[in-house]
Amino acid sequence: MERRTFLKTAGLTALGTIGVPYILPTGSLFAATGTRKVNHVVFCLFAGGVRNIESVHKADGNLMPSMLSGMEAISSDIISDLSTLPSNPLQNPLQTYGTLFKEFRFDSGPTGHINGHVTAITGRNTNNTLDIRNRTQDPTIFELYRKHSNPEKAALNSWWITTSNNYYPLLNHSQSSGYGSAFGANQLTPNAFFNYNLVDEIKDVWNSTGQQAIVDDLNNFLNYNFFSGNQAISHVKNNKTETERLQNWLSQMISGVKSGAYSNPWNISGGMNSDMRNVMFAEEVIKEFKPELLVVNMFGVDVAHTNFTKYCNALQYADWATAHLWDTIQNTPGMADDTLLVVMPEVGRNGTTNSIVDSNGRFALDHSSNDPTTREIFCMMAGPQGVINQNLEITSVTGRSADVVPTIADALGFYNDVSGLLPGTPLTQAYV
Amino acid sequence: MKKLVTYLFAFIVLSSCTRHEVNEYNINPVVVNADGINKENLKSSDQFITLLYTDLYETSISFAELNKLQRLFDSFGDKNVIIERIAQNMLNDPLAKIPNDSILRQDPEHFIKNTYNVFLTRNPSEAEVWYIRDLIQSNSSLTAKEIYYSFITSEEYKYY
Repeated sequence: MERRTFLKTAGLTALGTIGVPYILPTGSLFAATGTRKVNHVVFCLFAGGVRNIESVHKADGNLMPSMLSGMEAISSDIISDLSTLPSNPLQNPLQTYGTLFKEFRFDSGPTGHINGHVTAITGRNTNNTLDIRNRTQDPTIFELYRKHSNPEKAALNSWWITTSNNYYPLLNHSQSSGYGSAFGANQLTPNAFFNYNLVDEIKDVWNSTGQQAIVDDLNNFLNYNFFSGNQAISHVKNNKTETERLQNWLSQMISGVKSGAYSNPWNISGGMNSDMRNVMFAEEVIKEFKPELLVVNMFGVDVAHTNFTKYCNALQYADWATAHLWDTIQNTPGMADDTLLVVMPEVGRNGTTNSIVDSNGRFALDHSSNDPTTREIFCMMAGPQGVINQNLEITSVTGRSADVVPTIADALGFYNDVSGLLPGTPLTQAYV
Repeated sequence: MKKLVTYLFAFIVLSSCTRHEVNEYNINPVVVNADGINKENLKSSDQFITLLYTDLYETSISFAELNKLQRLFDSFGDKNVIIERIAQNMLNDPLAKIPNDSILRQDPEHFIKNTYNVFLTRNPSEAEVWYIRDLIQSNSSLTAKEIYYSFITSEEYKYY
């Protein structure tokens, strides 16, 4: 072999040896390049439509005493109709454990609940063409996280816990090419799945007769030649080991539901509402799986369409539940002091009322795209000292809902890999 | 000459006859393939539950029962997980129509073909019959319930 040819071949071989390990199974050329700020992110969509006027501006007093600092008295005309909740689960209001963006914005797109959710979860603004009955075209934060993390993450690391089965479950993954169900989150609607009246339908566990390996073999055989590549989009899948772990956990949870362990463990006078129940079961997921990314939503405040006082009451419940969520995170080994909690309503509500009046003479509130107040929301980021600025309030107009996905990507160390896909930017003002 | 006329007559008669299918019920013919390659559409939650119930109970599901199971089905993202649980509960129900295991042993081929037609709405290939028959014959404690479970939790059963 000529000396020149030898050197050329040897050089290419060496280059290939160095380069190949950086081509991931996902097809991306390089591993995630960023440094993680935390190893876990919990994103609480404080959803249903919350005006800044009632939340951070406290026009009717501090209706969110577990999250917001301040002792502002609640308006006398509504206070007698508000529930008395247990004291704050936290020593101090949640905002003291992080940074509050008081003038955040849902800056673009129709101000509907689903539009707000889609922007929060994909980091992309929507318009009137959004098809709410189908999965989004843009990848969700779950898919970005699972695909671009290094190493690639299993589904058990990412969860989407939703209050209702209407449309929202579809947000656990998109139909985006290169992403999709293979990178989706485990989706759970606890209010349905752990409903006392439904769990009898799924309470039995396969009573293995020792034939499980044969049953698995047969199942593998049936599946072996089936896929032609033309099948319609399927669903998120956990591997066999993860599925067994999931099934065991579900059986434990179902036993707990049947025994009444989850009927009102927070001792809420009058019982827990569906927001609280959703957060409670999200906490069970946190305790069991310690996910790196969990998104949970609430919805109770949407009663504002017909009853203002009940809206204020629901705001109190959501506030207390969010503080309880942070308390659970801080009491979960592996997640304490290593978790970023982001809290944000998906949209606000109108500055002007509709014509429906409640028993206290208060008018109800809708949320319309042509009312600027509907775009005014807040965002709170709580996290470990040394990572997140503690007890900081940013009062100028800063940040928008499309910035949350880049912020989560940045916190989990893969923003550099997805920045080109996202119009927003990380909320660096919250970082130390 | 006589022979030539006979051949000519036979040729004209045979070439002028065409096969005519009488479609008395105006139903389009369906070809049943021995594989699932034409199944490309994912069953919706109500389709899946309705068919599963019918396949196992040989009767239609009530609206109330469908509503319950559909709520559960839609409330968990990994459909394999929820299908496993629903299937296990239905198969444990004494009202489910599961063949006696003695039938499985007496005539495995008939059982296999019947199971393919019930759940996958097609005939099995020779290879499929051979594999499952061998599995049945070499595992004396394998039950019809377990074979049904494998079919219900197969990928092909999710599609039509």
